[in-house]
Amino acid sequence: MKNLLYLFIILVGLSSCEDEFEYVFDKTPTERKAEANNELTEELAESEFGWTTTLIVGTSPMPLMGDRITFNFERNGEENNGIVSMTSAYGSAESEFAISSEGGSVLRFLTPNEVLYWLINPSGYDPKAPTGFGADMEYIYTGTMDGKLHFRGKSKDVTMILEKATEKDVNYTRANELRDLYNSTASANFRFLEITGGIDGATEENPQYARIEDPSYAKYFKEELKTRFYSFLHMYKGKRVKGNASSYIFTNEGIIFADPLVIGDKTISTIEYNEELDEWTIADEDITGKFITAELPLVATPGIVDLYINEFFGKTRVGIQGMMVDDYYAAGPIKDFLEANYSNYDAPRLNRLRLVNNFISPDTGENLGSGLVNLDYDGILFAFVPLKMEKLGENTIRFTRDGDIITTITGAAEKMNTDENLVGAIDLLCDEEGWMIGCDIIEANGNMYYDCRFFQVKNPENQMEHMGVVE
Amino acid sequence: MNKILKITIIISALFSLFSCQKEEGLRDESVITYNKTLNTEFDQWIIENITTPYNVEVKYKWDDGEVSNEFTVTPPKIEKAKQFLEAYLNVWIKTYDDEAIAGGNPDFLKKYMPKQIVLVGCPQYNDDGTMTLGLAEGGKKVTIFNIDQFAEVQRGYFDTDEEYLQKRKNAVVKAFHTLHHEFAHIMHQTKFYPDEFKQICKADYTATWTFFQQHDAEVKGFITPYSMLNENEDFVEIVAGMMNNVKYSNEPHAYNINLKDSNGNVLPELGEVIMTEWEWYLYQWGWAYDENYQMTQSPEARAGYNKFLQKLDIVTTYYKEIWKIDLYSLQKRIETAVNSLQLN
Repeated sequence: MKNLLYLFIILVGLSSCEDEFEYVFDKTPTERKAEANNELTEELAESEFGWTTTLIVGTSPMPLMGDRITFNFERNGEENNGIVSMTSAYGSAESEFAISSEGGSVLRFLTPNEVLYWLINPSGYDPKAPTGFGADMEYIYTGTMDGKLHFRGKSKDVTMILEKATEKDVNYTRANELRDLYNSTASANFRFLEITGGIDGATEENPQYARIEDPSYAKYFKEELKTRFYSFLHMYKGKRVKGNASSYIFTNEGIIFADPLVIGDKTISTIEYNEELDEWTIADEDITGKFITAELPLVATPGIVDLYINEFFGKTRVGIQGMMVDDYYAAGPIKDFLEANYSNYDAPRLNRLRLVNNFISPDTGENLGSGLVNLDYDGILFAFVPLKMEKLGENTIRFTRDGDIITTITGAAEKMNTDENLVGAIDLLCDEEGWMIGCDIIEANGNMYYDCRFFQVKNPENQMEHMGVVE
Repeated sequence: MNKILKITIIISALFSLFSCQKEEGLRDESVITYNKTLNTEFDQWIIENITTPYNVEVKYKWDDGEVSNEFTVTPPKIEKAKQFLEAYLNVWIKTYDDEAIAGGNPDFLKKYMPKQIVLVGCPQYNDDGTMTLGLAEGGKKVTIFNIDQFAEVQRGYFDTDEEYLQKRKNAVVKAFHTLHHEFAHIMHQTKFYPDEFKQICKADYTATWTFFQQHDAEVKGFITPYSMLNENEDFVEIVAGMMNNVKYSNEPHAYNINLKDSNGNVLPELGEVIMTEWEWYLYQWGWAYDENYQMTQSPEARAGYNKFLQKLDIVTTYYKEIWKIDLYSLQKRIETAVNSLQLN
C-alpha cells in the first residue's frame, strides 16, 4: 500500500496544468482555408489580361481533345466567386465560377458555356459515340510554379496550367482566321503532312506523307463541333499506322494537335502558318515539312493493288464477282457517262458492269482473264471487255484494253464500241496514267473491310467507290 | 493501512475536482466562412417567383453534393433552365395551386410540394444503357435531368410551324412526368389511398416489369410497364399518365380512328370520334392488329381495360375527396398553361 501511495505522489508531482502550447499556425484551419481561397481568387482576378491555358483532356477509352482558352476572372466584390469569361478560337462565353475548399482550394465552373463545356459534357452511354468528353469542371489548385497556376481535375485528373495572359492572348481574331483558312482546305480530296526531313528516310525528293483524316468519330457530334476533329494515317516501316481521333487546337500562330503524330521516336505536334509563303509548316524542332492538300491518296495501303486483282476482282462474294462500276458508286465525268448509260433503255441494255478477274465464260467455261463484264441477272448472257490490269505503284493500278469484246448478247459488242457513254466510261477507266486507290480498313466480326475509293490519276474528279471484304 | 488508503482516496477525489480548464470567451466572429453567391437577375427571378412564394429552393448551378459522383453530369444551360422554370411555375406549380384553391384547399401546394428542385443539363447515363431523367428523394428533393433538351424535339421534314410547335408543347407536358409522379407519391404517403386499389391487379405486380412492353402492360390493366412494379408505382403512374395526356382537354378533338359498336367492340371502319387526348388514349387501350391485320381489342385487353378503369376511378375520387383536386379539371388547366407558354 505504501508503494501505491508513493506512486500517487509521483503522479501528482508530474501533473501539470501547463498549457503553453506552441501553435504552428496562428489561425484556425477554417481561417486558413478562407485565406487560401481569397488569395487564389485575388490572384486569378488581378491578372490584367487573364490567364491562358492549353487544356488537353482525355480519359481512357476516350481520345485526347483540347483547346486553347483564355480565362478572365471578374470577382464578385470580396467573395470567392464571380464571372469568368472564356475565349477561344471558337468564340467567347461566360460562366459563373467559385473557389471553395475541398482538399485544397477548388476552382469550380458553376454554369456551362459553349467554349469550355464541349469538353465537359458527358460522353453518353457509349464511350465510342460521345457527345462530349466528360472532363472535369472542378479543378483543385495544386500550387504555383514559375508564375503558373497548377490545377488538377477533381475527378478525372485532367491537368490545367494557367499562365498569365498577355494582351495578345486575349485576342483570338487571328486564331479564328487561321481556323477558317484551315477548314477551307476540307473540300480537297486529301490533306497531308508532307515530311521532308527529320524523319528517317524523308527528304525533299522523297517525302513521307501522313494523311490527316476526318474521323468517323466526328459524326456523333453536333454540326458546329464536327470540323474540330482529325486523325492521322501514315506508313511506318512498311506498316499502316492509324492514329486516334483527336481535336485541333487553333492558336494565333497555327494549330496544335491535341494527340500528336508520332513516327518512330519523333513527334509532330504543331504546324504554323507562314504568311509570306502562304503555307503551313511543321513547327516542331528538327523536323521539316508542311501541310498540303492533294487530290490523290498519297499514303498507300500496302498490297492493295494485288488484293484487288487477286481477291476483290477475282473472287465471288455473296454470289457476285468483282467490283460494280455504276453511277451510284462513282463521281466526276465517269459518273455522268455511267448515269447516262443507266438511263439508256435501248437494247441491249448494258448497265450491270463489273471489273473482274479470272472470269469464267458462262458459255464455254473458259477463263477469260481480267476485264469489264456485263452479266445478265441470270448469269448466263454476258459481254466481256478484256482489260489488262497492271500494278503501277503500291496503290496505283492501270486498266488497258486487251483484245476484242467477247459476248453472247446480240448487239453488245457494237454498242460497247460505239455508244458514246459506254465508250466514254471505258476510256476513262482505261486512262494510261491509271487509278490510285485510297482505303480505310475496318476490322469487324473477324473480317477486314476495305472501304476504298479509286481516283483517276489524270483527273481525280473521276472516282469509284468499293467495299472489299477479306474474310 | 486502511488509513493510508482512505487518505489516498480523499486526495484523489480532491484532485479530480481540480481542473486545468481555463474559461475563455467565445470569439465575436463566426469561425464559419460564408461566401455570398453571385445573385444574377435570373437568381432574383427565382427568389421572387418560386422560392419566396412557394418555399422551394431551386438549384441550377453546379453543386457536386446534389448529384451522384458515379456519373458525369453537367449543370443546365442558363437559357434552358429559365425556360424550364418558367414552365415549372406556370404549368406545374400554378395549375396545382389554382386547382387546390378552387377546390377549397388553398394551403395544399405550399404544404406538400417538393421543397428542393435540382436541375441537371444532361441525362444521367447508366451503365445498362438506360438514361435517368428524374430522381426524387423522400418527397423533399426532386432532380430533373436533361434540361438542355427541354422542349426540344426533332422537326419532321414536312412539319408545318404549327405542327412543330405542337410537338414542342407535347414535349413540355411530358417533361413534367417526373414531378407529377413524385408529387403523387407524397400524396399517398401522406394519406393512404383505399386498400381496394391494391386488390385490383394484385396478382400482376412484378419486379421484372422491364420484361413487359407497353401493350403487355395495358392488357394486364397497367398504364405503363413501370406501374407493374408495385401498388404505389401503379397509383402514381396513373396520375402522371393523366397529366401527360392533356391535349384537347378544354375542347375535344375529332380523331379519325376505328369506330366501336354499342358493346365497345372495335370495328374495322374508320370514323371521327370527338375526344380529349386522355379519352383517346383510353379509347384504344390494348388495341393490336389481329392475324387479318384488323385492329382489335382482345378479351384479355378488355379485362385489363376494365381493371384500369376501376383503378382510375379510385385515384380520381381519392384526389377529389382527400385533396380537393379534380384531376380532369387539372388536365384542362395544364393544357391552358402550356398553350400560353412562349416557346422561343
